[in-house]
Amino acid sequence: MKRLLLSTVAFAALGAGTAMACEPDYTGVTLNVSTQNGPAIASALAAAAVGWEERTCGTVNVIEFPFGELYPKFLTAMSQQTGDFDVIGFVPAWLPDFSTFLSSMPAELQEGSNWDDIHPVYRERLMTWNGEVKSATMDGDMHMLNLRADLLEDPDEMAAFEAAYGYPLAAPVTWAQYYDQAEFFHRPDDGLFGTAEAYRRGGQQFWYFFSHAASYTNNPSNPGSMFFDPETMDAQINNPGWLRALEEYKRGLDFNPPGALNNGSGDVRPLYAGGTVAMNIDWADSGVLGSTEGSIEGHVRTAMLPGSTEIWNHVSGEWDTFDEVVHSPFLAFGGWQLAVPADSENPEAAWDFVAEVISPEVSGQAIVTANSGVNPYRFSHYDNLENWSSVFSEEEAASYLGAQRASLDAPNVALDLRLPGFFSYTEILEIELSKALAGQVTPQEALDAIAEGWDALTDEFGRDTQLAAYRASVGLPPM
Amino acid sequence: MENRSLRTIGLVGCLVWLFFSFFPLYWVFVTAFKPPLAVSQGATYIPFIDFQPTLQAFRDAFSGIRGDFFGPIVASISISVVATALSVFLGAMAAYSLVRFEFRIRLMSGLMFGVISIGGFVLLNGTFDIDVPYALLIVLVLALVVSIWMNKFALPGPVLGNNDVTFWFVSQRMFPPIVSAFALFLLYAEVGRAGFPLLDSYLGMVLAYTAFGLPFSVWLMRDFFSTVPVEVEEAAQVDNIGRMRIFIQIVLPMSLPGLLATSMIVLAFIWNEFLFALLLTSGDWQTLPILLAGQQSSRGDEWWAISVAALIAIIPMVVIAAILGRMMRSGLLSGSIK
Repeated sequence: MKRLLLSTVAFAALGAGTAMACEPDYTGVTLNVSTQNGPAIASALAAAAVGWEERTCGTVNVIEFPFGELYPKFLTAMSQQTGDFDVIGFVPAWLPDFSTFLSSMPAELQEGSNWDDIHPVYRERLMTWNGEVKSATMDGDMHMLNLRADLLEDPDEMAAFEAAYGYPLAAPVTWAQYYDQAEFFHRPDDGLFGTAEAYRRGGQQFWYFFSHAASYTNNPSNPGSMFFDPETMDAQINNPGWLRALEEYKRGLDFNPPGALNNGSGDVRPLYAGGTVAMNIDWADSGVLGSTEGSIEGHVRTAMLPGSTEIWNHVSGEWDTFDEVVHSPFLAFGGWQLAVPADSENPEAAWDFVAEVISPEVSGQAIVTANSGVNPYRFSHYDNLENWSSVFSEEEAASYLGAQRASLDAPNVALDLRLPGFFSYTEILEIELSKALAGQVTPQEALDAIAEGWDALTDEFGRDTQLAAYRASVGLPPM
Repeated sequence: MENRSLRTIGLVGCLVWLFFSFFPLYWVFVTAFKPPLAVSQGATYIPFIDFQPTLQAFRDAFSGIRGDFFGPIVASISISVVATALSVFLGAMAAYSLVRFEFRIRLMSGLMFGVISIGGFVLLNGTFDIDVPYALLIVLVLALVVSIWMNKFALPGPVLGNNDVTFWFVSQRMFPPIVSAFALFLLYAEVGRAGFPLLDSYLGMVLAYTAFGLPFSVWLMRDFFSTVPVEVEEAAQVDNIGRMRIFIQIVLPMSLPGLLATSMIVLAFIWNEFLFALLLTSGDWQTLPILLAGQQSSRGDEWWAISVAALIAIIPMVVIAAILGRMMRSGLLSGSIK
């Protein structure tokens, strides 16, 4: 009898202890969290799930799909209200198509120090749609210029470069300087090539093209006019700014390793990390790969994308000239985001899980975890250099984080295209872009064809609808 | 001398062909052991000479950071084996009936089936607001009964024969898979809302793949059954043996090589099928092709990971094909025809 009593008391105490441990108590709740196949992003969600399960006693089931199939999978599931997913991990470009099927972020998550810690570019622009916060950034993404200190700081190289080009060797500030350096370091006989960018159709080529174009088309006098005229929704992609960008992007082929037309972003990364190229344009992955698995350890340097002193003004139809270089760093891709579909049966628990993933503590660990695919997006991520000691040297970390922070803080930062029918627009773009790169058509012919295709698509989707969506995506008020 | 030269040329040709056949497998195999830099910095061919092999891609795969491999393997095997068995068995029955019986289907009764089913569905769902699954069930049963009944009458219009029926079966695989896959997804979603979850379920996947494999089975087995001598069956009928018993105990054993060959083909199709699996599954019954495709991520083509996944994906198929192939070659089969 005594043993029975003791057992009962112990069981009750255990039960009470368990109940106290679950905060909030989601015992019996299973969240289906879906994103692309790991390790990138999926492993970060799985790691966050461990802590969330311990805290709430709920269960997380991470469901992975091929990246190329995520968009139709999520859209069909949400539009048919199958309730398959409680949390989805997706790309900001899809937010316009998904927004009607998503719940809004609870008000309590949109306040406090954790909220203010997220950089405003993400918090106020990429996470919102039509004035509502529909998603939560879990990964900060932008294109950056990756350089090598072993070349940039070599006295012989510095002297030779200055003698040849008449100015000191340093991180390129303009695209002209970028091509000067690409040309200078392009030494195929020594196994060194000037630069590496992605040119392959389906290999994320168009984001590289956008990164060039932002410098010549994202005019600060006409906000939101990079891709379309925000008054008429006419495509701007065949204006002289875009033409200059395409001609320069194509010119880069001369300084890339052989076969560059077949290189996607996945190929560009190891080319830099392995020391085959003097620099590359890429997301934050190249720097981490170079410092951890590459042959340029300790020499990784990162810079904001080059800018320009001339930007096309589509209103005046002329080039605007600036005294100082205007940097228009391009937030290519824009990072992964989490959202809770409106048909989720566990929206509270789902948003609680999202809060766990993006919390400074959990995300701070994710950004320095190998292959997590998570890049900084909070102020605290950029400030904590010590956190990066396992990945970078102090100089590398300062350069890597400094370039990202400077990109986000740049007054003329350029956001990626976000529009209903994103895939239809980029499909036309990729087809014509590939023709221009292969020399089948001239750059102007390719851009004219893209503009014609984009305008036709806009009419097909509804010009007024697309215009309203486009203005919302670039932060302009409704007309 | 001339014969020897020809043999040598033939041998060299075979070796060249062997090289071309095996090189992709070799390439996948060695790529699975390559570090990332050995993949992207020009072609490397021979381990320890061109590059230092690593097991990292295998560690990544089995540690689960590239997705759960075990679950999809179990799902793929259990779904594809059962769906193959069902579709080959049902397909064999259909094929046998197409070989041994004469069908006369009046086109008008077929059209009546379409009119009743579509019109009835619009009426029940649109006017009487009956849920999609129930409306479908009612109209399909009704349309079937009415069209079979009407087929007895001398309706105007052409009469379709066995070849037309066979073509109808095969035609199911002629249109793009997305047409049927998406329709099936919508149907499953509706049935799920009615309280019978079929999306991401074992039953749903087996049913879908059984239907997916049936056209192949009917088409292939029809040719095999047509080579079985009818005299054997006639002799059995003289002994008053029932048609079903003749089919199962005589015809099927005599057609075992055909059954196995058909099974291998249907199994291969189901094993590699991607679209149905993508649309109809989410977490519980995801199959290997989804996992395989997932190795190509937003970070670019990580060929070492893709190669490991490909190796893992083909191993069960190689084992099953080897077993079936061995059975086909065994004397047991040839004996059954004698």
